[in-house]
Amino acid sequence: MVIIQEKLDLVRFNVDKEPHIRVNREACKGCDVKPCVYICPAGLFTLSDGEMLFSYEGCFECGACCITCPRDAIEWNYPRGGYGVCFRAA
Amino acid sequence: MIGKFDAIVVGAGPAGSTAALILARAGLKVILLERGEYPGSKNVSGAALYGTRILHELIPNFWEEAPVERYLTRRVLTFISPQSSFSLDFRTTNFDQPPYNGFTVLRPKFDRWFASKAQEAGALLVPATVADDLIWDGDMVVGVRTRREDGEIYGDVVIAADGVNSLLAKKAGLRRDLDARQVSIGVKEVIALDRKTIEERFNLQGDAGVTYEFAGSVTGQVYGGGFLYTNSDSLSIGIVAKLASLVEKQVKIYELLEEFKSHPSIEPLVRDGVVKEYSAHMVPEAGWRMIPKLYSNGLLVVGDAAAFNLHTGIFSEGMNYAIASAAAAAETVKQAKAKGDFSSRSLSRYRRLLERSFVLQDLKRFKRAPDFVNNPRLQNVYPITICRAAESLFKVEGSPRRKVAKVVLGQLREDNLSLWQVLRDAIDGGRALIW
Amino acid sequence: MKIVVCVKQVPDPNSVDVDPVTGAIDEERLIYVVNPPDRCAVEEAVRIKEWLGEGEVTAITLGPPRAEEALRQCLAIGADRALRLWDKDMESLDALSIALVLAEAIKGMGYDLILCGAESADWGSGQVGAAIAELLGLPQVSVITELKMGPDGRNATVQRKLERGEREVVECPLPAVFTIDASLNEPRYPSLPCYVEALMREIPSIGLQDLGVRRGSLRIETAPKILGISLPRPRPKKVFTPDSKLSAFQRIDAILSGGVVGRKRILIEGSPEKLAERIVRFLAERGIIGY
Ligand SMILES: Cc1cc2nc3c(=O)[nH]c(=O)nc-3n(C[C@H](O)[C@H](O)[C@H](O)COP(=O)(O)OP(=O)(O)OC[C@H]3O[C@@H](n4cnc5c(N)ncnc54)[C@H](O)[C@@H]3O)c2cc1C
Ligand code: SF4
Ligand code: SF4
Repeated sequence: MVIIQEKLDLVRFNVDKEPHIRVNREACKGCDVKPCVYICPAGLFTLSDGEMLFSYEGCFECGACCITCPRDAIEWNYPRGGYGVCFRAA
Repeated sequence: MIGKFDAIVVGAGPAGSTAALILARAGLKVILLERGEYPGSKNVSGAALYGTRILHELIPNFWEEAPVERYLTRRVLTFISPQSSFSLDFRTTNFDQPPYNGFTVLRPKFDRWFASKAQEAGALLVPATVADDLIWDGDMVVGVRTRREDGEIYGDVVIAADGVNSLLAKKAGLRRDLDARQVSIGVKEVIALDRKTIEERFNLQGDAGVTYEFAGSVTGQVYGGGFLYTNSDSLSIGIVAKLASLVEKQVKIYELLEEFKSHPSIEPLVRDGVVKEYSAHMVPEAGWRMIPKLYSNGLLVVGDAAAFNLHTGIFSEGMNYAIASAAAAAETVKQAKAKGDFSSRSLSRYRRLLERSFVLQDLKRFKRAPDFVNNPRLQNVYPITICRAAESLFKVEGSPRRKVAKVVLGQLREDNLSLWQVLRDAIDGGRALIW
Repeated sequence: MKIVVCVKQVPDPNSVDVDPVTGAIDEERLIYVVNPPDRCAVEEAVRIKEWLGEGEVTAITLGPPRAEEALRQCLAIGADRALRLWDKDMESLDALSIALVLAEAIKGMGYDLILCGAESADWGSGQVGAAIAELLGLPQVSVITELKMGPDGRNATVQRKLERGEREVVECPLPAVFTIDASLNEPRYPSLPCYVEALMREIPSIGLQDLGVRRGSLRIETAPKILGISLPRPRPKKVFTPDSKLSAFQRIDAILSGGVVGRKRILIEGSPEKLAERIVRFLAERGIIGY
């Protein structure tokens, strides 16, 4: 098991108050594959008692969740300029 | 509202900074928008920067001032099976002198430097500002709308250098939404290790560096590969995998990275290193077939936004195409400015320039590359076959050694592969990567 | 109304990576930002100006060339002018000397109100504002969480943050020095025209000589230095064993309280001068300071 939080702790995020990605969790209820759980490189989609949980704070803004979601449940945007992930070495 | 510009460049990656630099030098009034706090803060590459001729032309001897890590003299392609590995090692000594063939770079540093060169040339760099939409006058793009109060910017032409997710190319209707089958995702770690250890482990002298690319069981059943590049005092290690394949196999890419790092042929190379940063980014990969329409009235699309990326599944090269395509776009805009005509007809010169440059020629030549790598035999069977064959070749057992061909044929038989199939794959692979 | 705001560029705490073994900070990975309460101070100054319908806001900093970036952020929020003070050896000044240089610059430009951040994210000594007030002979109110200007701009009513969530409301004549708590406001996200203008501005920089500050009056090399950073280690917990001479009841009571004895408190009252004198005497009597 990889503890993804430990990896995210190495990255600087300038977190905005408003989320830049919103997930329609109602739509997730009918989604059986749940690709977002596998695809998100930051592991931000997690299941808890069958409910989809999403947090935007550790997002790399890669766009992968949005294009793999089969039910258009993800309202995706970039954060405001200057906010979000800020790589220093990548 | 702020004043009008000759050219609005969106995105300060290698593509955007190249375009802004050339146009500002030509005396055009250029604004360079970047959504990150500073250029490079959102960007991830391996990163091996090849095709440095254009950069050398723009900034002679750029390596003397640019934050480059190591110049590249070796490139190793390794096939790995769960226990062993087999490498093809390309070395050349001509690459160890100026103008070098390639460098490793770290994007947050390199992009920041490169954008500062565009700034010095007179471009107005506006970081921390995201462009949300295009502004139209009829069917002509006349500016961009940024996510700030009074955020409209007007200009004769917009150059979309906004990377793989290019919202602008999409808004302009030049391309459709990305499809999971057309993109890969890459994750990467930068691992700090002192210079001396790196030089010892990788057998390097001074500022020379090496890139390793891995195929085979690195990613298990998932289509993809791994890379390990040497920087001055760190290593860049990562995995690139097809999105659709990760979904299908229900595998998490960061778990693949962890497995890769602990593979018996990788672990000794990264041992005792301290992980400094983890990052992720998408790669447009379907090459030739994914390239959108490249221009319309008042708009040009360059770099990753136009899917100019040579992605073989194992490694990805895009910075060189980003720079070259942006240079072609900038030339086109210079001419259009002289004629005062920014219509799609006038900008169509961009495509002709690209066809003459290595950008479209390479992508056309390698258009089969993605299919080749998506071949399940290449992914999982051949590396094992090759490694096994190599093993029996190198094993010293006292009995007379068999000839190479015999060893390989014997191994193929053992692995249930027909020679015919192998030859067909080889021809396919050759077409994709070599011919 | 002339408002001067002192700002400082600090490393974003989010970007401070400490080597777990050596405790050393990775300087290369630091990202510099405007000290958050200083940003709020600039925002507040601009709001006051907008509310009064007149005024001029100047942001000043004492910092190396990279600190220009911080001043641009202040201009983008709406400061009218920016000034950077810098000279040789300035990186090793202590808080008092920094205040001396800033006060000298502020004296030169005239002021009705001076705002500073209550604390910097890097050192957090919280001394600069107080020292400037002292040097300019002005009243100071610290750690402000609310600010209301009097209609004529001659006084202000402010709320201060005290310990344990308590608040104090103070009315103060101007000119004065207020130090700002980051909860005072939410700095704006600058409009594109303001931001672009700020990016294009020339930012003047002046040295000690132009300020008329003698190098000898500064305490160079007195700045505190970071020797190392480490996470607090849990202290080994001693199990408390009560005195066996106590009664059973007292012993149970002592165990329950973990051996903690109520602190002794002395409450003193009087004018600030009297209070300061009493405190100094108290400390001297107990040998905590020499007097
Ligand atoms: C894991 C990985 C490894 C790779 N390895 C290599 C390698 O070794 N060698 C190589 O040559 N290539 C490599 N690539 C590919 C390479 O990274 C890209 O091809 C290259 O970055 C493309 O450059 P660009 O300027 O077109 O786009 P980008 O570098 O993506 O730049 C786009 C810029 O636009 C900004 N932007 C985006 N949208 C907006 C907006 N709306 N408003 C304002 N700004 C915006 C972004 O912040 C960014 O700075 C790799 C890619 C990955 C993911
Ligand atoms: S893929 Fe889309 S619909 Fe399915 S669980 Fe994830 S967010 Fe919900
Ligand atoms: S954009 Fe990328 S990092 Fe962010 S939530 Fe989606 S998949 Fe995860």
